[in-house]
Amino acid sequence: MIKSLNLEMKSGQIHGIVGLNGTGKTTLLNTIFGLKKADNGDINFDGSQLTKQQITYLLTENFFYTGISGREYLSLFKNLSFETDRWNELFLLPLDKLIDEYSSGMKKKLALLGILKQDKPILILDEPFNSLDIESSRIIRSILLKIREKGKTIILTSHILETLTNLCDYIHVLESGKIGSTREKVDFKEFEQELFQAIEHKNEELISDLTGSKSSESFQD
Amino acid sequence: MRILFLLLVFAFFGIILFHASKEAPRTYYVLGLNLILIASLQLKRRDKLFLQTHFHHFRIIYLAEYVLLSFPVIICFFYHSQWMMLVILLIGIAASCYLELNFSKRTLNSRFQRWIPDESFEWKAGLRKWLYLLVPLWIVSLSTSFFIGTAPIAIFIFGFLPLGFYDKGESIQMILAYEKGTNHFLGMKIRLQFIIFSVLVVPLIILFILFHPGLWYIPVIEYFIFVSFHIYLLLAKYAFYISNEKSSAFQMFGSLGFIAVVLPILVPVMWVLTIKFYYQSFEKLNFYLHDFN
Repeated sequence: MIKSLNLEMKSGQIHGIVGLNGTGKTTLLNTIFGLKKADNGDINFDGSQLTKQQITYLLTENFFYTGISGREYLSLFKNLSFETDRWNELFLLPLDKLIDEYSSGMKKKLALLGILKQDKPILILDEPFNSLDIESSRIIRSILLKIREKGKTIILTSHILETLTNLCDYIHVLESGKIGSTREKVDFKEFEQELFQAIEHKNEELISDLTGSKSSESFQD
Repeated sequence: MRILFLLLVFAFFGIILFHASKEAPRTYYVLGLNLILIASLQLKRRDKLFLQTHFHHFRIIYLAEYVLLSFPVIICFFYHSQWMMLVILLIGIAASCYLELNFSKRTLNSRFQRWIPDESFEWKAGLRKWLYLLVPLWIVSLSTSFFIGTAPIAIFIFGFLPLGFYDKGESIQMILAYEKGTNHFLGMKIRLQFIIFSVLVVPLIILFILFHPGLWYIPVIEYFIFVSFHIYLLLAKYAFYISNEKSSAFQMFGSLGFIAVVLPILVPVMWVLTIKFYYQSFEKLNFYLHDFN
């Protein structure tokens, strides 16, 4: 549950939202997009109420429709200037095959292609790097940085801290339904240390206790 | 209650079958329909690999199943001494057991897909599944439209086809893709369904009227009943819309619509439900589309 939130985002920025499971990251994105209603407060864009005409949203789980091809899915989005086949030289998707035969990574890439085709000023991406291979992740990161330069606002969540720190202008840490802290252009190691220091020691003791291991080696070493 | 209802439906179709298998030309329709259904089953069944792996005489299993399914027809032909029809039916069933064609690649991107508007993805997906039934059926119906039963039966089959197209909800992104307000969205879906169905059946209706001018009202009434059935289905789909899921409520009301078409006395019930579903689907979709109104 989101308790209270005050966020300001400007065009040409990439904002990362990070937090433990269940802290409300997806709820926050759903609320911004309008899939959930906030009990009170406003979500504004350039001084006016934010509408779905200004946003495109990549959900964590990507569903389409049984029995249609990737190309047929993309043809639903009416941006005639979008060069699907040229973009697909980056994504390498079998667009003329049924989406049912795609792997989860391919479905994620198809959904991202759809997001790019919509060409909205605000992009909300929930775990965009899930299921992607290293090459595809690099391509997506590069695309996001380029479209940021064109003035788009990007809000994304990810558990991959290194990607977030490399990509985002601001990272907001969600804790207990509130923004616990916001860091601007933070270094990965420093940020990781700051986020996990408090709980790491306690967890390591418990893991040693449960596994019966006396080793002082930890994952973070 | 459901069992009773099902028994009534079976009894109703049993009576129709019994009368239709008395004499030609109705016996030809019964035979043809039965063989088309068996062939479709054989082409579409997904347990072939399992049966072929675990059973040496898997074709006997197919044969037994299809004979059991065709049992009512066999009994009716036997009772009415339609020996020729019975023999052809049994030969056709046996031949169906050997049908092993894989159409999935050939139907994947047939030229027919391009004729269907992008927004009618339900028809694009449906055509992939049913292309090898639809196209021959359409051609055969057109070329045998001088028979009095051809057009009504073909319209009947084409009319019920969308029942399987609209049972699953598409993703939210696909609903938002058109960037249309709720009324525009529903209007677009209904209009496209109407156009596609009309393209399929209006030539049949025209030919029927040319060959049987005195009975022009039969296919026309059938057409309008099915058009209202399709509007009912579409509105029911979105009244009970769940992203990426098949709604059990839609399946129940879809069956009700099927019964209303088969028993036209219930068509007004379908019309009343259509109005209810319009308001329900508007409210459901407006949650996603109100920004585009």
